[in-house]
Amino acid sequence: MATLAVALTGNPNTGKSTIFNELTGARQKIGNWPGVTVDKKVGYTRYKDRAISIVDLPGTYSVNARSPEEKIVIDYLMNNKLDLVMDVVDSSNIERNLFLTVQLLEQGIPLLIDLNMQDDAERRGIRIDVKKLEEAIGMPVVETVGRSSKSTRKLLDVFTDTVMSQYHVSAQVQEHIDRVQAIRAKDIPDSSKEEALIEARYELIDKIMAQAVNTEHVSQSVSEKLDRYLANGFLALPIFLAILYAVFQITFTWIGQPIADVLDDVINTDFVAFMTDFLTDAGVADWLVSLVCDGIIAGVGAVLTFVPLIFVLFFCLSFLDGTGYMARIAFIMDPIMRRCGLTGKGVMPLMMGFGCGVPAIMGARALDSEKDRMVSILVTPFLTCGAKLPIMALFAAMFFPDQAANVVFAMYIAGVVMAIVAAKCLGATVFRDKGSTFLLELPPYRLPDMKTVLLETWDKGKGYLVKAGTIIFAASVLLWVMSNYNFSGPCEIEDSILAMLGSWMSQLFVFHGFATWEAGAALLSGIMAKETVVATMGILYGAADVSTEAEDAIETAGAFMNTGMATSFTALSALAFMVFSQLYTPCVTALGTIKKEAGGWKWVAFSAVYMFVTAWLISLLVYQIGRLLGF
Amino acid sequence: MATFLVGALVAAAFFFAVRHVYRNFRDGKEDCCGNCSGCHGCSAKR
Repeated sequence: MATLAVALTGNPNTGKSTIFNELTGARQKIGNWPGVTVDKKVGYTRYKDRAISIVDLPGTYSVNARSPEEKIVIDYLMNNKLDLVMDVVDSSNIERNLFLTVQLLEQGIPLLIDLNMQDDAERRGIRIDVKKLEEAIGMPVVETVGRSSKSTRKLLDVFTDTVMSQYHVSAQVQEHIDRVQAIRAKDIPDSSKEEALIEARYELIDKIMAQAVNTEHVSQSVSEKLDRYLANGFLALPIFLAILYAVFQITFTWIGQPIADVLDDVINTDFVAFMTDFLTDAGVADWLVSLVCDGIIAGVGAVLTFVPLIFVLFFCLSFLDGTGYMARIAFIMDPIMRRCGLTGKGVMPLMMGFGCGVPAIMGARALDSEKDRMVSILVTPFLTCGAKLPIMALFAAMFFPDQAANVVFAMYIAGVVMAIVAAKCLGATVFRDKGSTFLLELPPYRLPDMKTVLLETWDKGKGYLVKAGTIIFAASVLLWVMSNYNFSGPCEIEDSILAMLGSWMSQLFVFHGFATWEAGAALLSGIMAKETVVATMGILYGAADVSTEAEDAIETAGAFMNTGMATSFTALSALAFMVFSQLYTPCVTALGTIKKEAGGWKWVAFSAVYMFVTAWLISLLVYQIGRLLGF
Repeated sequence: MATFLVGALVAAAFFFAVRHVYRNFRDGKEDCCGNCSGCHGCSAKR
């Protein structure tokens, strides 16, 4: 039996991706804001011995082929042989959602209409008569509530039992289609045609609403009440900052850091001691014991120590995303973004940048204008991605132990401010063009699905673990070799290749307070991957301590690093180092993505150079102003 | 013998790690970070 081909379409935020995930068992990211699904996704499932392929198309409000999402949807629907196209409708916003439904019917696409989020609609007092809706449109209608196994089974039953060729649009819809064709054939300006088409569509929607939907008892939703404070008025921005601050307290003070401290002890003290004894007793050569313990375990371990922080932070961000609050952030930030020549929509890819710059750069595709897209691509790497977090956490814990969460929070804010300033500068110089309009739908607040939140947290954290096992592992081996050898053979660390490269690099930071070869080497390695900065410091300071201070062996690796680093940095120079690490040249993967997305090496070079220069200048200012103020 | 075994293990792990990094760079993709819909890095696997 041939595979049943199904496509999911609908407005943004109607729960298509949730349905897709439930049907296929995939873990596609669920976004509570428009533009999360910027490309189609394909998944497969089997039901009643029938293979079913399901395509999740990007959410759109229309199919005029103006935006990339609209082009993807209309091209896919018109050019593929599909057994069934399911139009996912948010029942609590049915009137607006029917606008897309009507347009799809105008294109001659038979639809299975899924009235999703029925629970939300009922809570708001919206009553939809399914039978009457079927009669009014002429297409089959099914009711679902998104995350429910009952709904999933019901949909699979409908997919396998429905034969779309049996359905034909109702007389009033056919009449509307004829009217639309007549309008299109008229010899009038395009803008007038567009107005006439919109008017005709809403006339039909009004008829359908009158026939099948009862909205007499609609009350103001909880979301609307909450948004009076969370998305509007003078309290919105302070509440946003308070929520962000709470996330950082949870991550760095209450939950993440205590777990990280325990892990630090286990990996960098107990495990290192165990491996050293085990390998030595087994007769492994000293240099190889050093490579494994001082190189690989010190480097990879230094990065692994931060896994609890990463998981807790990503859990909090995924949870906020699931509640619908992320869309409010875009709304709240819109006035600020507009001053930079962008729109609130530009905040969304930037928010992704707190996880990883690579998808954030790719996510800029969802922006409407070329200017917005390019500016977003070029400023995203200023944000504190998950890979920079260990650098911030390490330095904050060491040099500002009582204020660690506040300092890391300040670095996040500094990244955002720098991104906004850079956007303003780039918008006024390199990309002088008209900005785009900002149309944002605020989804209803929901209690997040914990399964989805945990899966997203795991996916993000898993990427970090894979990096620790691959690029950090490889970098640790190379760094150990470079820190133990020079061109003449084995040597002291001070005479090594790494010390030579680090010394060269450190000359740039004479006025920044951290002109040591260790800092230079760590920053140089950070261009490979930002986590490598911490891994390098783990190797450099850890290795030095192991060879000179025997009693340090019983201390944690954090203490190894503390001992060496405490002499290299003051609190002020540590702050300058953090600022530089926060802002300087993106990692090679991000640079590769910039090349792909911006379309050329010149943007890679531009990004690498302007970010390095910016970081150098801001870090210099922090250090010199701090000195003038007597710190 | 122990040196040879541990050395071989480290060398193999290093080879696979470098190959992974090289392939990521060559294909312009990132290890999965959960933002799947904004990323085309691993769509081929799904």
